[in-house]
Amino acid sequence: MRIRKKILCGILMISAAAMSACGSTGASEAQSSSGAVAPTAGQEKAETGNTSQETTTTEENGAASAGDGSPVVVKIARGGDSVTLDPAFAGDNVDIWVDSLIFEGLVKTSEDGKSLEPCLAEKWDVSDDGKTYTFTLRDGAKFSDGSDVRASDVVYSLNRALKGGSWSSLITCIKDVKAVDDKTVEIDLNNPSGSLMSCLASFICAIYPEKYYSATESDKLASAPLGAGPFLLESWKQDQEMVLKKNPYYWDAGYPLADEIDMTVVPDDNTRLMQLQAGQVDAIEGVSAQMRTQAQNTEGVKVIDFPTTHVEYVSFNYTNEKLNDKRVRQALNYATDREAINKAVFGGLGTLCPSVVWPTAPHFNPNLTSYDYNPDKAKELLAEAGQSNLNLNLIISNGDASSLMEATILKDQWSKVGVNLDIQQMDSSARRDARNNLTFEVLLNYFTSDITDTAEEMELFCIKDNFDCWHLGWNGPDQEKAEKLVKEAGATTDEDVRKKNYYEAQELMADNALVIPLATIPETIAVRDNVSGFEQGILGNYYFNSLTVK
Amino acid sequence: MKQLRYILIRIMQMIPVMFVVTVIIFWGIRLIPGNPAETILGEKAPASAIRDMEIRMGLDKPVWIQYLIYMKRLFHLDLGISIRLKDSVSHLIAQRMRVTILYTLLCTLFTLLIGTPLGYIAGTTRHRGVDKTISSVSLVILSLPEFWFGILLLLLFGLRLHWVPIGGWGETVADHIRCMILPAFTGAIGSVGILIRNIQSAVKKLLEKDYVNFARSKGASPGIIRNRYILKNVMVSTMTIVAMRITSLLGGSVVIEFVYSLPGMGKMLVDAIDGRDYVLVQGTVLVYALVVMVITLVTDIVYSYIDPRISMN
Amino acid sequence: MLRSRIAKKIRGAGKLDAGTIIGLVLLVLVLLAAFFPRIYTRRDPYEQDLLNALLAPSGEHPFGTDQYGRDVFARVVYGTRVDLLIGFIAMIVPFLTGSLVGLIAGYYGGLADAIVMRVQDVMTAFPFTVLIIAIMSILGPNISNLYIAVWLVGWKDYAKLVRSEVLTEKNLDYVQAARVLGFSNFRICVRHILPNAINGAIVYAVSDIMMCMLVGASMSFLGLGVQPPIPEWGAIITEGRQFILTAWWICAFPGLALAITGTALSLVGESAARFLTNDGRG
Repeated sequence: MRIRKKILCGILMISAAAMSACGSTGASEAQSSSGAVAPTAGQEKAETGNTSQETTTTEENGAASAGDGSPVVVKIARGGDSVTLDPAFAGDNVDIWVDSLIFEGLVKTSEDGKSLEPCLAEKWDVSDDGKTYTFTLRDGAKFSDGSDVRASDVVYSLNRALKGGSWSSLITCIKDVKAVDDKTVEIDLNNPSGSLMSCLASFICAIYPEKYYSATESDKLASAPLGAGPFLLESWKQDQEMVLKKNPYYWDAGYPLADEIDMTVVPDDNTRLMQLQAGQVDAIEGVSAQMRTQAQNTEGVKVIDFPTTHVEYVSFNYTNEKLNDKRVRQALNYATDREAINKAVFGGLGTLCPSVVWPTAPHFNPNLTSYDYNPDKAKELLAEAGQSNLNLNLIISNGDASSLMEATILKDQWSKVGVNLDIQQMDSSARRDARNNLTFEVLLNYFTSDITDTAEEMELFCIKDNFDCWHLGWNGPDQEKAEKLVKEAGATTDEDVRKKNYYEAQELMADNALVIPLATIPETIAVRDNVSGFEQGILGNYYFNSLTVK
Repeated sequence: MKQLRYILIRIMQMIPVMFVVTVIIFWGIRLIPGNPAETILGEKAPASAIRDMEIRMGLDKPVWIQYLIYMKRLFHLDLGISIRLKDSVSHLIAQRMRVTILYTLLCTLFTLLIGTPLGYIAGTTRHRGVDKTISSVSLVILSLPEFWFGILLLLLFGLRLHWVPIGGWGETVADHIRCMILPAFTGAIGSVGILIRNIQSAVKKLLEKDYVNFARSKGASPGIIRNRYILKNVMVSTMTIVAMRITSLLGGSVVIEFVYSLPGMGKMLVDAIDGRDYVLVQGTVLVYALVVMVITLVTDIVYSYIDPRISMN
Repeated sequence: MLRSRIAKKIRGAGKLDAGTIIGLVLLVLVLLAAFFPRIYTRRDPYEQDLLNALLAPSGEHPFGTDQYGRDVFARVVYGTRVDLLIGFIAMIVPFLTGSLVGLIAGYYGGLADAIVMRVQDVMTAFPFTVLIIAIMSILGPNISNLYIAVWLVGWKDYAKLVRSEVLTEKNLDYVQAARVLGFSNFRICVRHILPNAINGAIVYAVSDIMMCMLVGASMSFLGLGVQPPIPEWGAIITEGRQFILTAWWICAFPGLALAITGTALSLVGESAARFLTNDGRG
């Protein structure tokens, strides 16, 4: 693994930004754009790298399994179960993360989230105008049923995601997907796009076999997925246990190291931790700041924090008459002591951020107006707005311990500036209803990005009919301006324009105080000492190729 | 013959009740705000996809037509496919019922094993201290929150002593039983107090009855008195409580299933309500209602055998 | 005859045993906490002090502090009122309505009885928790809806108890005599049958207070009960659950409070039962 990583990282990584930049600067005289040369050249080396490394790992693997003769089984306890394993309709992170084990796309995000690696496609080529992408599929890429990954499968998968998939709004730049031959796919765009590559790397553009997916009822596809990822779904008892087996046809020979992953659902935090302490499971997810110390103090257990794009925030209903005044929303920002919340709820592990955009995002604007804790200013603004005795209702999901803590602290902090907050717990469906119909006043929310590019988040928050913008109820001239900026940035690969526009849009959001960004927080897991290779990317995706138990 | 007629009449009486249950649950669950189509598709699904799904699920039709369709299926004994879990409701219930039935059996067993002797001792003892200690300890235990007790038991027997697995359900029957010991014990704690107090007072009352005194004066040994007169009579009132407890246990215990991560009925139903899984809620509640009615009927019949004074009319 | 009955009752009441006394003392302490919490503590149960979170019990904070630095003792004390109120209201409303329904059904019989019995059958056919959860989800989670849910579910037990008593009472000689004397049905029901038929329901009601409090607590577990930060014992325990391995005091003391209140109510209830059922000997 180490060898492969070095070679891939060192030579071959093409960052998303670089890619798109290449596409646009491809006006150079060279016949094919420089962007196309790089992967080809890199790929050759990578292939050599792969072969050499292949032999070593197979040997290692052979030795390992011959050693004790038993298959490597890793047991992981999660807090909740997936709902659907159909990537076109994946909703929550519990779905998406497992999708990242079963499915792969044309390209994939590197573990550090900063660049893209070849995956089912071994090389690609971008036309000078940035509107045509040509992918060459890897020889030996197979689905877990042993059938080859063909260009027609790619065409089918991308079209399925585009037409009727939950995430189609992210890839609307795609005009047409064509199979040039069995191994070559051409994607035509309506306009150049700086985020297309990172979408192709995500579960949104997962590739699955046309033959099986077109012939199977969509209800069944939710529980019987078939992809080309390192693992395949062996069995799934919903809300209990999911068993994943090694995909014997996985293209990256020698991987994954584990033969089987058992994912059990253990909803109670304490029980989950005790299972790890007793060695009943090898790893647990969803370690809260409260459990963290406990886990750290256990011998034989280690705690790992993965950086994420997860930003916790308070959303305001812009259309509510009490909150329609910008000064009120700003006042509530000033009234919130975010550092105190970070310490109490996240054990100080979170990082304060000035907007809903996670701070390591490619177009994160670091110069935003941030609303540092200032209760006097808050009172002033509220008085100016004529809302000195404000009563607000805050919705949180029931059973969510950290939301409950945030809410309880907010109530206390806001009461100091004369705002009375009523906390109301709701189940997920009722909360969703309140959000869709904009009948809430204030609610606690979080955002996690699904692609490494900032485009998804900016589009979701700034384009009126999109998910998050709709749920904030944001409208008016500033929103229209932001929408225009974001749409413009979405239709170009010019990094300067993208940066400028996204920065401006973030400034508009911050100035309007649409939300209170509380903190961006890591994803904490805990494993037994004998577990290695439990990796989660910045998007939360699992990288379990080298996961194993000694 | 008379008995058969009685049973038949009772079964006939169940039909209208079942009918009303289907009506209430069908309309009731639709009164809760929220939409099952969104549960399936996830909240990011485009509105058009949600509308398509609603049409496919038949949710666009007027509620009474949906109800008729549901009833028609029900007549063919088809409970439908769960919206959220995408599995047939009857299969899901069969799977989850195993857990809940084992829990109910073990829990009842523990309750009886702990409660009967303690209640009997507390009722017969002449030593007031013993009597009071048993009844007050049972009171204190009764008022302890279940999950608190559950976690403490897990900590001791699971983590420290390694006697039982920490949560889960296991693969084999032996596993299932091992996994179920602590949950059943935790559950028994909640009902044992009531049983002790009930037996205690029943025994006390009986001891004052003339026929027991008569038997005693005729020189019947304490063993005979206990077995022939007291226990048999105490059983009648105990049975009512046990039957009531069994019916409530069969509904599933959400808290215990949550703490011990058991795949039982309670959590499935709560999750189903949470996800607005109409089909699963309807099916489960209906099956539960049927089970409750059958249990009530069976207890009534058993009653008439134990105590012939209770007539069947 | 009447006089001797009363005399016997008084004598029975005079013979207070240790259990009753302990029960009464505990109950008074609990009631004092409910009505005058400031006797016990000067601290504010809502006041947060994040810098002093999760402190172990000490002189300053006898029950320690919770994750927000709030004084657990103050929260337990102020929680008494919330919990007793839940227990009491959730008991008394079903008690009154259920007893009335039971009385009417038992006394008049016929169609009224048949309807009540069938409604009861239907109610029994639903799993208890699910019924409450469903009702709470329809109405929305807050404390008054909790009362409505418990009322809709709870009345039937009282109706059942009272009805069966009325059925036996109404055939007894004194009721027949009253009928012969031409007393109105209302008078017979209220003056003659009810006082005798209600005893069982009262005894049940006393223990029902505790059951209702536990229902309230388990609703808090599901996020459907009292909304935070109101100090309800069940809610305190639920929130403290994530700290059970590190800060035991958050869960333990409200649990203890529940146990003490439960014991007090049961001891007093037991004496009340003896007093009412008039066997006077236990």
